[in-house]
Amino acid sequence: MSMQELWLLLPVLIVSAGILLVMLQTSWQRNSVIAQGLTVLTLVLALAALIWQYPNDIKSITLLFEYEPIGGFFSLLILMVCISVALLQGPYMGSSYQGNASKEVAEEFYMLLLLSCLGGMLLVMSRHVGSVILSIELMSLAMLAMLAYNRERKASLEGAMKYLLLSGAATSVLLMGFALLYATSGQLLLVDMLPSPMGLLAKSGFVLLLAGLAFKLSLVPLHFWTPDVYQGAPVNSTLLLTTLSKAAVFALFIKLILLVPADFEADMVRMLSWMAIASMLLGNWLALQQQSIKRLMAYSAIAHMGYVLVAGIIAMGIDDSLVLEGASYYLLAYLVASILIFAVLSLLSKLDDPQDVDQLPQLQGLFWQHPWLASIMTLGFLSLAGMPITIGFIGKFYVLTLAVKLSAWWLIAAMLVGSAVGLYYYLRVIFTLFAPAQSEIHLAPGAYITKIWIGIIAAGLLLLGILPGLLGDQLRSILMVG
Amino acid sequence: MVVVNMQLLSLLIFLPLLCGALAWFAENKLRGSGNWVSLFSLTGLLLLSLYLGSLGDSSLSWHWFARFNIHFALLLDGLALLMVVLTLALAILAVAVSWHEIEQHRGFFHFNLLFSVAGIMGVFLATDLFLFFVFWEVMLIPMTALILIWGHEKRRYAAIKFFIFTQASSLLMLVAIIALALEHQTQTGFLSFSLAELQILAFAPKTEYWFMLGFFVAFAVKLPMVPLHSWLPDAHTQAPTAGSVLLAGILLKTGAYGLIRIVLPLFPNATMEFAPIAVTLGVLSIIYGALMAYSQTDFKRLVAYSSISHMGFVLLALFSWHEVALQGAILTIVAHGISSAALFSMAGMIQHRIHSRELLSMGGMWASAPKMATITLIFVMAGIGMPGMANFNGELFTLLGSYHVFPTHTIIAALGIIGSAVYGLHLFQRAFQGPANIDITDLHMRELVYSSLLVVALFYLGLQPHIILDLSADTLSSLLSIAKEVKP
Repeated sequence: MSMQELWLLLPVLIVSAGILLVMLQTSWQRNSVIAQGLTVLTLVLALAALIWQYPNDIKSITLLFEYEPIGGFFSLLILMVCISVALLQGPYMGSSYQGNASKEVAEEFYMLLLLSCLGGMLLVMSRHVGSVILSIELMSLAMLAMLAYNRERKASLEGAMKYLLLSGAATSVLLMGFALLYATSGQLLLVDMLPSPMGLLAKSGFVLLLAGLAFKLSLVPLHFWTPDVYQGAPVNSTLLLTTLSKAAVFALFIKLILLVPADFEADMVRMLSWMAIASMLLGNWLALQQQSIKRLMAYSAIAHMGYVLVAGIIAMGIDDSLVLEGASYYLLAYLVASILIFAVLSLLSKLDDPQDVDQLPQLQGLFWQHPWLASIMTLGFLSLAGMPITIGFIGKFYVLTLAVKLSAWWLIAAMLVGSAVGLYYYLRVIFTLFAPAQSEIHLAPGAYITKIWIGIIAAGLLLLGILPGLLGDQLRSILMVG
Repeated sequence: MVVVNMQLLSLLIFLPLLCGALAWFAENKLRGSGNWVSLFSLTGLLLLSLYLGSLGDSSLSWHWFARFNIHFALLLDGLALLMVVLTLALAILAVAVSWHEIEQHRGFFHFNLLFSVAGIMGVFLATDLFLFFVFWEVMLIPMTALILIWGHEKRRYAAIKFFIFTQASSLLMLVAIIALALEHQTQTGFLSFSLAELQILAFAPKTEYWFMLGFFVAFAVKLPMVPLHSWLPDAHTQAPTAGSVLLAGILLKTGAYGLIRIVLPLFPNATMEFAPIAVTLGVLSIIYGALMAYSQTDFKRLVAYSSISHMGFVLLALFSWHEVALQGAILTIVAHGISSAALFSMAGMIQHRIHSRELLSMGGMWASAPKMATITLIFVMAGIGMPGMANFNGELFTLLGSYHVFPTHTIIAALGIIGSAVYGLHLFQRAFQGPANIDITDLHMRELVYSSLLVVALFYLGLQPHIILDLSADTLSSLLSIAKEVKP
């Protein structure tokens, strides 16, 4: 490894150094505020490093990783998510200065967060089976501990257990897929793994591989774990699960899909189309009557992953940079909206409470008590519903444009039906926020930096919705080489 | 000078937003000031739009989303000016009728009112289909909020129904818009959402039909046309008075406006082919609306169904595609905007006094409120289409023009006029005549002022319809020249 390659790894190295620092600090003296500060500082530095040397061509760094624009963009998203979670965790746990510190230890959460972030960043840079497996597990295992962070919540433990077992099973499916591909091609580099006339063995290997990833993306029919895990986990861990792991895994997913050889495309399109249609319809349908916002967001995540998958399917049909732009914009829109919605829940909840604030009646009349908070949540839901002047609409516009371009009318029909059904439950939540207030809703005091950060993200949601050209006109050069 | 105009044109959209925020802020600082801020800003906007109109057509086009060649493009021509003035005038009426009616969250109410005005003006001014769609959806949000927060007893249900109906149908329009832009790319090599550039496209007959349907469904829901109307009675009835005024007065007209601006000029062949179906549905709306209106006992619900009936005339006129009928459609759009808004504001005044919209609990109110009764009678007569008042011209022209193209349909549609007389008189009789059931206070000064202004407007436009026809002449003549090309 040359000095230059090390230099290219700078963002990853900064995060790794941050992990060591937080660990040392914790063993020296426990202090949640310092740990949080170090974490945020690490992530901001990594973000700055990434932007400073943003990749504009493909360079491989050893056998395992590569440094290229798609990975760069997704790393940006991952860092944005992790900064949000790190900032939100402070008020959620309370601090000893305000005399409301949580009974759970606080510092380890930040360490796990950084580990998970590292896993995600490495995953989007991977070009080799070994690095894929390592980084996906690093990300998932760290997340597992975060899912069970409050040991007194039964639902949290149950959810974590479910995630552990099913995620383990999914990883073994993934490994099996890699093994079959290796058996046919004898290669471990992702780009060389798919032999060009695909035999039955290679085909089944690739399908298993995608199934393992579809589990992480919670696509139907591999979605069953999602609602329970989402609902049980502490709200910030749910946020991380629905944003970081989805974004990172999707980056890998789309890279793999782009490698599919021509003779296997028709089969893949058929299989993935069914998955996308089922995800869009079932996800939206099951979300209809949910009372818990976390559960609702779980089903909505299933539906939204269905929409993004549409972009993935189209990637096989037409060779156009618009596909990548569409998928990236849509994913960005989804992440931003999720961050905002979970941020509001997080600011209203406490880790030590037996449950987070996530039942609809608990949020009734939020607008009349905390107008800013409710406005942010409303913006998030409007964006998920794809209303204009939010970023979600632009994302939807991209994906619809792609689908119309390919004349994929079945996919379009499922998208339209799904969106129409989706409107109902998003609207139900928004209406609850604006209903007459029933009881006093408590908001975490202080935490001004967190609130400012959330405000910035909300402003970004509006800005990129009103002036889509700001990012949309540049995306092509951000994502493509040359 | 031209540059100044361009910027002023965009103010028609941005100023209402700004003033809305200002009204919200002012109302929170000083109770009651929001009314005045809204009133002054709307009056100012009205003057501004008249000034811009006096300068002739003005347009602007800014780069907005270059990746898809989308522009922020506005055009104020005669027809758009007409609709903008109508919008602002009715918005002023909406502020006036809700002067004391709104008790909670008054600042936020004014914000929503002006926000929806901004959205509606955008719909009337936009000449880029993407922009048009954005405004089309954006105007829904504040309107839904108006129904949801300040509406009557079943407001939640009505708001959700209103939103989902209009949103779901407009998704089809979005797909059609995208497909249209991509079609432009296949034919000319670059994407375009501009209405003017899209007009040069030539389609295969089947494609054109599908495009037309995508737009038509969205506009037909807004219009509304039977069988896509079921959101309207609920939304109109449950909305606060100001909301009903805006809904009936302007929002329904955006559907008709979309048909005039987009469906007819872009897809002339498909429109001609589809005309028999559309006209049949229009006549069905006329008759169904009239029958349903007659069987209502709720004041606002009755007026709501009458709107369905009247908008059926617009549909009939537009798809006849005959010069006189098109003029009739424009006249009906304006006249119905004023007369239905007038009736809804009257319903609001009554409800403010007796806390009911039930006709059965009214009766004999003439005795205690003669001024109110007289004015209501004039509004009802306007709705019926009494000669000398605005609606008469619209319906007469519609029937005259359509008769040349669809004689059978027109004869049946004419029955709707009898229907309107029946339910109109039924309404008036139940509420104001008969034994006095209830004592109410008569109109006071503020109500008298705006009611009489409405009466004046109805008579003036009834006697001088050429003002409306002159303003819309350019649009109509270009439509007719397209029609001549298609069917010489």
